[in-house]
Amino acid sequence: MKIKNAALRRALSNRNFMIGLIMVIIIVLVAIFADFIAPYAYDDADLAPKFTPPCKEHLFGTDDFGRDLFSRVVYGSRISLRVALIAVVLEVFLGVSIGLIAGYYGGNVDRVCSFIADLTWSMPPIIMSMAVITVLGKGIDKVVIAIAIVAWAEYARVVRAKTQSLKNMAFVETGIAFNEKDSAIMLRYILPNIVPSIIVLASLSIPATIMNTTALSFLGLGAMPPSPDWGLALSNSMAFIARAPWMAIYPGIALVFTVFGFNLLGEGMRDLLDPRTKLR
Amino acid sequence: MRDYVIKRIAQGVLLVVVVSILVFSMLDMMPGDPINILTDRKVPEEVKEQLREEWGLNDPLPTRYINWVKGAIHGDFGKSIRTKKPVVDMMKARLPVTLKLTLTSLILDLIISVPIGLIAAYKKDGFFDRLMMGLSLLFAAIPSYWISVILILVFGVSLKLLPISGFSSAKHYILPVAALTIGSVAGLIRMTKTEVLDVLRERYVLTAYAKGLPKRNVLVYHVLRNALILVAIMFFMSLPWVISGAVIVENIFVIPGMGQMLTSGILNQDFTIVQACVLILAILTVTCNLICDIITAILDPRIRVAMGGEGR
Repeated sequence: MKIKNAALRRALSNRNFMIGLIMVIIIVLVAIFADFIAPYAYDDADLAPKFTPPCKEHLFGTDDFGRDLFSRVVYGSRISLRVALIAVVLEVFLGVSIGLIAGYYGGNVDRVCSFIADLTWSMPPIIMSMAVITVLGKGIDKVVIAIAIVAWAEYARVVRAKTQSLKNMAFVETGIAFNEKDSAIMLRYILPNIVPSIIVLASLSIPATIMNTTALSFLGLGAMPPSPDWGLALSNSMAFIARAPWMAIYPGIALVFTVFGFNLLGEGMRDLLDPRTKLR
Repeated sequence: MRDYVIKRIAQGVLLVVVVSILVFSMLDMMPGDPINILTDRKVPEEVKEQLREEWGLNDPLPTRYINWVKGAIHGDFGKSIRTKKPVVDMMKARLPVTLKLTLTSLILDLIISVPIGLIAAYKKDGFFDRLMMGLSLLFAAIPSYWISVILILVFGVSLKLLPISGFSSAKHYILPVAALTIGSVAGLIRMTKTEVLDVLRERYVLTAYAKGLPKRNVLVYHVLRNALILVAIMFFMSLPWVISGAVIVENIFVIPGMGQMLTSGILNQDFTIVQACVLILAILTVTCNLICDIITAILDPRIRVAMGGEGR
């Protein structure tokens, strides 16, 4: 019990972690209770004249279809969070299994896995994702897959390195001496020791994922209208920037708030759990 | 040393070859028949067949790949399936635009981030360090496309100071370069600080202090010298990332560069363009990574030994 209290005290005194946590909780609550918070549906057109500036009925104004911008921003949080969550789960699954296998078996298995990881690093993630989207076609779910295909290598790199160093530890060698199966050694002996690093990586890659998916939506490769995706909303706002600047401002603030919150949380988690893990 | 360099170059070439094979065969699986993009759907089947023959689409995949590579080596990437213009001509017009944009903003990036990173590392946990780290965390959360939108709103629409699209004069470059720099500088500041902190912890720095050298001498001759090497490495390491930022910024400011070409290629399913762009960008990225590794290896003998086996 005492250890837990110490950990809690450390968490409470880490400013990045606490501020980030509060911001993330706010976003998550907004996403969960979007139906109660948003006064209108996100695709409810002609609620008010087009391009109504922010006022009492429409806090953030209305867009080019007379839709309530506040409601759209609120519903947009659901898309960002869902996308980030699914992508991160995929990345973790791919990266951790490949990293464990590469680090545990070594030799040629390792060489092949490392080469595949190098392949995904041979181009910047956005461009690699764009190439994948060319094949899969446009759409938000395809963007998620494209991002995961590109981002898993980061996890694999860290997990591989940790597995290599854990493999020679006495407790793992004991397991091998007791003739445990390879899968048991990887999952029960090694994996639990890597979990903190994986959590840190995941919390650092959530904001990156949100940035990348909204960027692809901004370019017209991700979410399709009438989706309230923030990237799509910002790209749409460009056409009316002189007439309705609020369309360009509020979705952007929501996006920066979300990414900043997750960034702080991730930095805080790293300080608390695994100060040496670095995101490339 | 020479073995190491040769090994890394071989690895890099292999990487580019595999990427090109992947991209080529992936685009082959792309939904939709390219012929339907080339012509109208109503065109009779015989004409389509003739076109397929003409574009070499009937050859088996490996043959087409080899033909494509042969062409690419001689600077021929085929013709755009939409505009029917040679891809190379489009590329020649667009690559310099993108390079001008990215190099300007990368140099600005370094001018801003290196001094800030140095001071922040030297006065670690001081007021300046805290302020800069907080700011860079905030800026890291602002996507370059939103920065562009805001810059357009403030300087283009409200103040009407600067043009918001096109690339005809130096003035046109100001906003895109600013957007690109603001979007990438935060990461570079943090990177510089981490690396300088590593240098400060090195034993030779401690030795220099122990010898009784004045602080300034240690900083200038021991730390800064190594930090300058770091600048060279950061330049090559960041180039691909800044280019990927340029893809987005070019689209916003309607600058006819590689990024815009790639995006419109994807949106139009113009596979010859996508193939060529991806190949060029892959070569560029792999080369940059290679140069980084080689510079590091030349300067740091320990890495040469450690990297004998694995590439990373």
